[in-house]
Amino acid sequence: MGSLALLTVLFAPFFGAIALIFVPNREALMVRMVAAASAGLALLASAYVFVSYDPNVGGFQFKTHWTWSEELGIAFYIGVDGIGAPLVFVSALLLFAGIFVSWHIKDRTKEFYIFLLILAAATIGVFMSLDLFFLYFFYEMSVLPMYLLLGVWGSHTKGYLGMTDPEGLKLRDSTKFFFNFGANSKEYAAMKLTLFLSAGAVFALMGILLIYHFSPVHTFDILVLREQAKFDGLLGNIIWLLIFFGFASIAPIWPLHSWSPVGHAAAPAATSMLHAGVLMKLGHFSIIRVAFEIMPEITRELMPIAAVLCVFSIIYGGFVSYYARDTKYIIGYSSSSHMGYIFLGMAALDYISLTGAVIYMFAHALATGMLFAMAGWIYDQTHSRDIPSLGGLAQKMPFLAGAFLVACMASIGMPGTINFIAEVMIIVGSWEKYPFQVIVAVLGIVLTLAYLFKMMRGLFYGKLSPEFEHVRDTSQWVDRMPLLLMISASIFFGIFPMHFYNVVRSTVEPMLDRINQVAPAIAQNTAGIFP
Amino acid sequence: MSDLIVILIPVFPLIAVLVNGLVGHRYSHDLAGRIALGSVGLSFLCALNVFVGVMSDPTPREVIAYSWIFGGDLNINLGFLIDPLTAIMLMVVTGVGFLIHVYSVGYMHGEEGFTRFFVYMNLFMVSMLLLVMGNNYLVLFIGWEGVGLCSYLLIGYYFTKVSASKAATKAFVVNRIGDAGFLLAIFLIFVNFKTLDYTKVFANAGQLSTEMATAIALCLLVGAIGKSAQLPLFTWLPDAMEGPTPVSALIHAATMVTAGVYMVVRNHALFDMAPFAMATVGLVGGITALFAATIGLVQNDIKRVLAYSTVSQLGYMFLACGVGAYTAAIFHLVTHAFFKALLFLTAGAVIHSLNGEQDIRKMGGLSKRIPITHAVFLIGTLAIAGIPPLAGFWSKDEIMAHAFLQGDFLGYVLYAFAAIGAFLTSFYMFRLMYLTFYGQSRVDPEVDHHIHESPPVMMVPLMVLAGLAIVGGFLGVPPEHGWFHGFLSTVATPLGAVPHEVSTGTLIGLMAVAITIALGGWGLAHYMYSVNTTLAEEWSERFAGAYRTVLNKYYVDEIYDAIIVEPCKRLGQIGDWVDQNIIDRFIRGIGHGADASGAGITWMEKHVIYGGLNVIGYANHVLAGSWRKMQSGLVNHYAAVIVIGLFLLVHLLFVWLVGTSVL
Repeated sequence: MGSLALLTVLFAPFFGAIALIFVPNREALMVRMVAAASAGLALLASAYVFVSYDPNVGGFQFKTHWTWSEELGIAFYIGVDGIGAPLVFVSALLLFAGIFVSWHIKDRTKEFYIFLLILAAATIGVFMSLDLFFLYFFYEMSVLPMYLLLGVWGSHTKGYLGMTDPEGLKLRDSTKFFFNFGANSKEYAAMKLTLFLSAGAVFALMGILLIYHFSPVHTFDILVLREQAKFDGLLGNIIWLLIFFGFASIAPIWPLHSWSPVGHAAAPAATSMLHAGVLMKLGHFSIIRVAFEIMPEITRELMPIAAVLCVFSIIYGGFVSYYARDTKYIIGYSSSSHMGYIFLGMAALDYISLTGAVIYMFAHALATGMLFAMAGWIYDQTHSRDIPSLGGLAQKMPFLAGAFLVACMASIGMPGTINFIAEVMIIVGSWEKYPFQVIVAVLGIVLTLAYLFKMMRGLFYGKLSPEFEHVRDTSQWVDRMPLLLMISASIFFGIFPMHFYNVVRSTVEPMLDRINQVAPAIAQNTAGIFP
Repeated sequence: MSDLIVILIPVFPLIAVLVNGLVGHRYSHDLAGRIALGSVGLSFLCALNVFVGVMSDPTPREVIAYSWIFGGDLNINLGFLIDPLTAIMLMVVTGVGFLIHVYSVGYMHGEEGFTRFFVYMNLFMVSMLLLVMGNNYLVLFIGWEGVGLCSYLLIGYYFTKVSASKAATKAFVVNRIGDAGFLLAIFLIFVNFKTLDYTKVFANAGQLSTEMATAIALCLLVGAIGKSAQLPLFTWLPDAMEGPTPVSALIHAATMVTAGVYMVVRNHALFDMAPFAMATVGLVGGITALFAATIGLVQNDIKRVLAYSTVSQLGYMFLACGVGAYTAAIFHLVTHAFFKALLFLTAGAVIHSLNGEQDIRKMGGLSKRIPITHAVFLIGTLAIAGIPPLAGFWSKDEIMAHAFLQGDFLGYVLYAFAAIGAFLTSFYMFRLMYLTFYGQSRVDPEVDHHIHESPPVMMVPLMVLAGLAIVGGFLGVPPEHGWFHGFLSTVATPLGAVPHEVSTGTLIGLMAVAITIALGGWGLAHYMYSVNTTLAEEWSERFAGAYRTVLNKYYVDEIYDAIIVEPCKRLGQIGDWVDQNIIDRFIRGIGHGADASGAGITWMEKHVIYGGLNVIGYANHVLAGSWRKMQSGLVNHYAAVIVIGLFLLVHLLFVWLVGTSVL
């Protein structure tokens, strides 16, 4: 039953996408209903998976194994552990919400939903792959629909980019690049994003192939590899670095982040939601799945790299957000800043902080999903993302203002939301190893509050400009439902985190035991660059 | 007192929040107001029950409402601790809170966002109750954040006003800076004690090293400074007056801003371990008490004067904590809650009757027009100025006496700060009194005929508070041995404290000095604003530089803008620049590389591969050119060729068959 549910989560969106091919585009409602139904099925199944995952048993559950190629050691092998289960759940949730957020898309509705469903299904596929081949397969597959979603349905960033370093923009525009669309175009964003992520994926692929080549058994099966493959020395370090930076480029860790705000700004709302909400977590997840599981010793030696880079991520994203004027840029940079917290939680290799990091992935997905959904709604209504030109929208959009406030509160980790628990756990867990980073992280929370509430004030408070007299609040249930769904998930798990905590913990603890117990002699070095 | 009653205290307002918040738009404002008010009233009754229970049995007891997270060494409960300190705080929060809710029903009558206002107010009550009732740091922090949030929402209640929304954001951000320190303190406590429960932490506090205790205490102090608007994080409180007046009374005078004091007293076991942190607490309090009082001297907005006086009075409470007089700090907290809530609410009544006018330069002579309001405001002023036997005198005198009797240099310095501060307090409060209620009326003529007393729903709470401001002080009489001190002795006695061995003469002497100071301030105010009314103006011209500096609050806001806000923006700009010019340029470099190699390959294609192909092609071309001529398209040519060909063919046939040429 459980494995069936897991298969359903993966294949419902795929079959939904296939079914959509046969629906004529003029039947817009039918298109939406099919997409919503397949996503809804996936959501129900994923909720079942998450709830019925047994933390007392732990390990990988609901497994399905179909051999694909005996001699190459490739199998379609899926299953979830305590890290995959919540992420599968939140991906399905964001997909479902995203379908309703994009309810009013008129332009090539069918194709949009096909790509959205493929994007989400591929993401879900990564979270449940137990075979490196399929993990990579799904990973690449999730990147490509982004290109089309951005390039076709995206929006140009106007001159107000906000964060306008005019010289930089001029340079970017004047450059004779092999894609010369102009710096603010959605095509530029799409191209940049795809190139960045594909380049990262190539590095990761090299790492995966090296693992395959140098392991004693020629298999892509993660469970076999983690028992039998031993990597050390230069080769091991090279593989680890390839895997880490390859996957971290989507996370994105500083300085590989610059594709993300541009991409988020250009993407349509539902795409930004899925992208910032779950796609970025593919990076962290794949690092945990591949590097942590297969190469525990090297992880312990090299993870301080993440501890150093995460400081830059947190600070950098925070300050740029504070300076920026474009709503989606702010949310985009804030996401890249918040990814630093996850890296911090991972780097400390402490079970509280790693549990916190996994919960944070979930929490951030909800918070940022809400913010992007609402930024998208505001953009649809006002055709502006430039904060100084907006203002006073609370008069016209009281519901949205309230929901936006809740989203901001979730984002800053207000008690009562799941983000609070995640944040506290990351910080408590990493305090002993990385006190400097913790102080930075705590200051980063202050900064988060400063820029988010500055945005809140700029958008909703003050006088309403007369040109926005016509704007509408989210009044239909299709518009409100996705927001309420995400808000209630965030608050529900914030108040009842127990099952969640147990699920994650059941997986994190044995993993960290493996990382921390092998060859304790080297453990002394992990005190960090900033002791 | 059963566990259920304890749990119900915060649950009642929570229910009101949910009901009014979710379906409040479906029914009338009246009903929403009644629900809000009733919930706080029920909560007050439960708190009263608990208070009586604690009076008969002061042993602390813990009530676990809900296990939040447990497992391994992370074990967090939503639990409550009931002891005398909590009981006192409960009475203040629910009691004063209830009175302010009653007042608000009148004050906010007819506002469009009436229900929204009470949802926020009740949410504030829930948070504040969690804050004072929690049995561990996490619950304290939840309440702490909750009150900050509600403060944000209520300051920005009139969200279409740009100044209000700016003030709200500012308050939230500054509070959050303090919270960052508080969070760090919580982490330090967790790392050191492996638990967040008060009882376990305080029981083991003695094992901490002094350095660690100092670090924790200082981090806690940062949190307290943010919440209680002390130097250097006080700037948000005066701006917070943008909120409706009941909010200023409840949150920014009586309850939330005193949370820092409560937190320090609650953690006195940690502060006792750290003398340096204690001295810092005292100095922060002392300097703030004096600093804020000087700003209060020249402000012209009735609520801003009261706001600075709140900052200053909170400074007294911190000063008391710094000299180990925790009971006195809580005592002053209680009396301050009475008279400051009274003053704010009365100011609200004045503003209400003047149709929203807040500038005291446009008031004057109101004592005859609104006599009851005048009377209660006078009681509040006498209480805060420290005129015996009103409440403020006893608590402030006790704090000053403690500082003096500490007997070291720091103690005398703090006493001096407190004494000068007391003089200034008395002066600016009576200045406010004279400018508002006495002398010539400077009210705008069109407002003038509207002046009226407020409705009973607003006046009754004022009278109750006025009564409390008169008699509240007697809880702590005689000094150091009153009922209040006995009640709190189990929870607020510093480590290794010895009762002051002082003669009654000294005590009476100190009281006499305090009374003289208070009366002196009154006298000066009377002289400047009643007898020689031009003097104030003369002085402000003669000391124009100093006057302007103080009027502009020592330019603290501007300084913070210049050294914190702007650099943050600059850093963001630099980050943006780096993204566009360094990281992107690097990417573009790769692009150019690709471009260049593409160009190279193209060249090769053109010149080498195509070249090779072209040679073949050219040869072809040449050949083709020569052969092409054959295809002339003329039928006779073709006919001729066919004939010639046929001839040749026949000829060949002959040769092959006959073996000899025909030709």
